[in-house]
Amino acid sequence: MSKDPKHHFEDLLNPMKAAGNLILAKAAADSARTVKRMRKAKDVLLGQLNTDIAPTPYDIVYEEDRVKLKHYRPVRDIAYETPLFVTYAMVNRETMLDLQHGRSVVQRFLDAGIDLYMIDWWYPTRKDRYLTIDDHVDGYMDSMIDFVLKRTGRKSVNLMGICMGGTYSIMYAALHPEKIKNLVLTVTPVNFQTDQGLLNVWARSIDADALVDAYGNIPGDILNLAFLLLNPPRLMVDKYVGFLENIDDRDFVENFVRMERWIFDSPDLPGETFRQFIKDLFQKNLLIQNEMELNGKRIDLKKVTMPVLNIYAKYDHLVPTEACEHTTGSIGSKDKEDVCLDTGHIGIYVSSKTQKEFAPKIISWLKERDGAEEKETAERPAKKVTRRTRKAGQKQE
Amino acid sequence: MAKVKQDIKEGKGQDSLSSKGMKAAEDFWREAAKMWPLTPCAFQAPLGRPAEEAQKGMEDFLTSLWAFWQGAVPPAGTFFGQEGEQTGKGGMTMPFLYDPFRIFREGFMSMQKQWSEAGGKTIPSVDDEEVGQTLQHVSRTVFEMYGEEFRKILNLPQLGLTRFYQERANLAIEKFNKFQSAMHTFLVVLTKPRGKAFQEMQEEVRRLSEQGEDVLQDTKKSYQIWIKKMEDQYLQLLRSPEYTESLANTLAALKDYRVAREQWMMDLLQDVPVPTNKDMDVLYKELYDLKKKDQTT
Repeated sequence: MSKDPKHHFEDLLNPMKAAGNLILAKAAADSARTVKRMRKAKDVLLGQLNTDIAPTPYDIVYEEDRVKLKHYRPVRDIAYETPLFVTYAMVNRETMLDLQHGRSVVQRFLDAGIDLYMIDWWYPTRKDRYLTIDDHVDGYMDSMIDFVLKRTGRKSVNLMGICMGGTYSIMYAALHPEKIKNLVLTVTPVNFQTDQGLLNVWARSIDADALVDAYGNIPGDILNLAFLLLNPPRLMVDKYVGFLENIDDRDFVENFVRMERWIFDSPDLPGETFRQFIKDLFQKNLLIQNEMELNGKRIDLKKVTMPVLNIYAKYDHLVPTEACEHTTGSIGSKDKEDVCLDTGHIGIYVSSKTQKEFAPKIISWLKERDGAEEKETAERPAKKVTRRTRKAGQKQE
Repeated sequence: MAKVKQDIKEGKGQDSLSSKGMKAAEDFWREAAKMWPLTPCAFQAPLGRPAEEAQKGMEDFLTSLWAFWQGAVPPAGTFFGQEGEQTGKGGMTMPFLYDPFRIFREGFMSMQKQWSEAGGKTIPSVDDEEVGQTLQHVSRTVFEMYGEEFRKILNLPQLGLTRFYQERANLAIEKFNKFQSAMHTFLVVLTKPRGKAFQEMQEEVRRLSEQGEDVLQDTKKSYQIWIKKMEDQYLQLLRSPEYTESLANTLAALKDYRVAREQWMMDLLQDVPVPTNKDMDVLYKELYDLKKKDQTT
């Protein structure tokens, strides 16, 4: 190092200068990249974005009050003798099953030649606040299944339920087993006595009567807020950070916006349905104990004797595995199967990996059990319950 | 105003209850002004002005405000019958007209005195507590003090033709205050994990630095560590009895407030040709029962 003060000072400055130049160069490069990305993002956001959901065409073939029955237009010859009746949950909308081309369970069913009907609970108004689970299961569902049976000339339908819709479906199958040929349950809670899920923990401490008395119907916004509070950092922060990181990617933005449109499309929940669901199911857990009653009729799960396929998700934060894995042990079916997939509550339907797993499994399982109604399940040897934890995309062994 | 302040300084009229009340009120607000910069939500001194100046400005403002209030309210004896007669000042001896005002004013000053005494005991030292606990403590102090005192007024028995309407209005206000308090507590509980997550993140960064990994240079990695810590803290909180209890209390307070508010709104809507929720609910229930009857027959 030079002893001359001036040179000494310059010697000191040189490494600082070099570091400073490096920092400035990095900042400049980052800045240039950022500007480029922002320009692309601007083009994406201000350009034509395709964010429509539920693209598959259908007809409304039956309406009762606010509830509608959709019949999806076949895209090929019907290859299944028995039509499939799908019951979605009353929280969020059934459009999730038909989110977009390439991620549509509905399209996969139609491509396989299934004659597909789906119930649409629509948007309850204050007029619907006195409707109970009895009215939805033993009322609307029963009327619509009767309609499908009459329309198709069949004696029974295949029934598939999703989440709360699956809970309804198993109740219906216990009340009217003669009308159900095969039952498919997906992410369906039947046992509510678990601490695995936050909803179960919270539901036990809330006063359902107070909420219903205050609001009538439970607003969809409050339900949305409750779901966001399940994991605030991920659902309110990280999700949008991820969006910003990919804001210049048109496909990503379109998929993201579609999902946002679906996830915040929350109808209100009829007050009495909410009250009954919280008290009889979350708090008293009556269903799996065979003590639940609808319209004065007790639901005995042992009366569910048709073949049952029970699919649930290992990383489901809404319906934990403990809520689903006791189902097959509680019913009277001899032909029953559990499948646990390595995914989450929504991912089971929309993840690109599970698209190759979930819908094909249902399609093949139903096909094996399709056929003329005079073929009884007793002719087929009883299938042991199998429990597989399979990673999405992994081939069946 | 300066003369009034001088009178106060010299302690004139200190024997009267209202003067004592004024003094107590002024002391309270002066102390509040001193405490203000120490609170987490204190305003920042305007640019270029030192903080002490801003604090002095706040003190002067609050003191002047109370001095103005004293000047605006007639000194004891001017209007109020008995004292006026005794001192011969003012001469307006209509106690039956001004007594309610006097009672209100003296009652209000008495409340101020009580608040200042309560506040002096419970305003926390922000040096010793975490911000979250401080906020919770302050909110409890403010809302409970405020609630206790005002609840007494809101729960006064109402008289006359409009008594039921007034009762319902007061009930709606009281329930609103309770809901605000419960909501505030809930939000404080909900924001607790942030501080802990940040501390844990700092420890993680320190640990990684000791291992030779310079995380701070990589904003993405820092962010991922932070969001993971936040998630872990929140998942712990969301299962805790503290959270579920706070949630349940907030929902109960919300329900009480909505019910009270709806009853008040129905009073207001009575004169307007608009059906209320209650009217429609009665109609919907009848329709529902009719449909059920029709389905069973």
